[in-house]
Amino acid sequence: MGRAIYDALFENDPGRIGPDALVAALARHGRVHRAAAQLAQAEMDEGLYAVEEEEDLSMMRYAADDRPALSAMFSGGSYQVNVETADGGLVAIQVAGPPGGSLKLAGQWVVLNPGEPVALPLDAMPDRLVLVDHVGREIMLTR
Amino acid sequence: MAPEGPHLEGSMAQICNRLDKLSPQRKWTAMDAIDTMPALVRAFTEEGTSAEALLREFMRHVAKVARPYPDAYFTLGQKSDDAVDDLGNRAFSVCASVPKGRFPFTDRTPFSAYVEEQFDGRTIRYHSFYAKLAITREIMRDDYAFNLRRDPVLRWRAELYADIGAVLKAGCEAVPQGRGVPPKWQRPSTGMRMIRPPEVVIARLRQFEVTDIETLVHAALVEGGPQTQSKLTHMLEAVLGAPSTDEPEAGHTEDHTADRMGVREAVKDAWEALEDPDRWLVIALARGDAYEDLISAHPQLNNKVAVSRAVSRVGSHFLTRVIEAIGGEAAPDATPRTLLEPIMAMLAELYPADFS
Repeated sequence: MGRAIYDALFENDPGRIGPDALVAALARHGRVHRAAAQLAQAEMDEGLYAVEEEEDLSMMRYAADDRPALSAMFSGGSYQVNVETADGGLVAIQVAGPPGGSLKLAGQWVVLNPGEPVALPLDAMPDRLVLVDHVGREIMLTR
Repeated sequence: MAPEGPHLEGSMAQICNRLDKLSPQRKWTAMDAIDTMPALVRAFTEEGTSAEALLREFMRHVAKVARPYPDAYFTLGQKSDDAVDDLGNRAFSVCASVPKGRFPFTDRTPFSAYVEEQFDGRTIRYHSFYAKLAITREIMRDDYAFNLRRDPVLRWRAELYADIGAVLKAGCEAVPQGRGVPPKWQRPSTGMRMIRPPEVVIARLRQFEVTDIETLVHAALVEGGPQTQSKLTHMLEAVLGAPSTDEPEAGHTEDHTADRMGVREAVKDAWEALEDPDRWLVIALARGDAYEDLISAHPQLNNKVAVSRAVSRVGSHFLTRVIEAIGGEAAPDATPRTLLEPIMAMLAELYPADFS
């Protein structure tokens, strides 16, 4: 049978010389080639290193948004004002306190109506807000 | 705790409507997470535009997919920024220009398939990057296979995988794991045993202080229960330790060989001078076929004389002549393996049906 001759070609026999050594080298080359392809395919089929979960798209969008905060609650006295980041800028909503208050921002007045969103003339989330209540009293609102 | 109130009951669209009335000078738009991937692919495929934006998306996702993979899966065996960039560019090129036969592409380029099937962004990303069999992972698989053949240390792993395969086929049972997943292997009728986690198995095998592959494979299956062949390979690699070697890279030989046309002519002439049984033997050896594969395709070789004659002719009439023709003997550090690399590459190029 030719099996013994054939199988012997795959064995690492340093005693081989000349053409025989070349044929044996071809056999080992082929064996490694096949094993490499099979191992790579097996690891792929087993899902080794594969994480099929994609990150949440909305989280990717927010991660790309380098604005430091999307919303903040400012409180002072009996007032609470929530400021949110929207596409067009900042929006404030009075969530607590009596009506008739206004925010004093960079020389401008922004009238608050409880529960109603109102645009703020600001480019970034402020550290504090100054609210003037219905009797003209200034109240500092902080986060 | 977030305060509750009437302002929280309206949708963002309602809030924007109210804002538009309050501040007509500003246009308010609700934040809406738009998936740009389908439009980018369509624009690139149908109009040839948006290539830069689409490639940028590719790079971002490829970088994320590549994160868990080790060096061996990357070009030149190094996971560098350049290697990841290279991977991203190749994934993009394949999606743009290489038809794929398998589902869901059916002989279309991936981008064409995405557009024609109107895939949403998540599906496009799944098939391009995140699926177990995604385009990006296919490229990484091929790079890994290439590195396993070329890198001396990784080649040791491939040889170990082949040795383990021989042991498993000779004395173990395959346990199917489902479609598309490699089988696990177990010892025949082992009965009830306690199965230990892989790290414990590795530690116990190290204590054996043996290097015989067959012994280690059986011991690993006894200690750790059924395992896949690749899992056993990594376990035994951890036990035995991959050798460090200073052997020159296979590509080194190409410096000494004649130009590619010279190699091509020499290989072609020598190949055409072979008889059919000699060619069958070369093809079988180059593919790493088992003897059963060879004789089932070519029963004429199922005798000692025929095999012996074919081996002799392949050695003296093919390999020796080709190597002489391309000047391989002039390289003092050339090994038979390094001499064979360009020959096999040329055979694959000349006769892809037989050697690919």
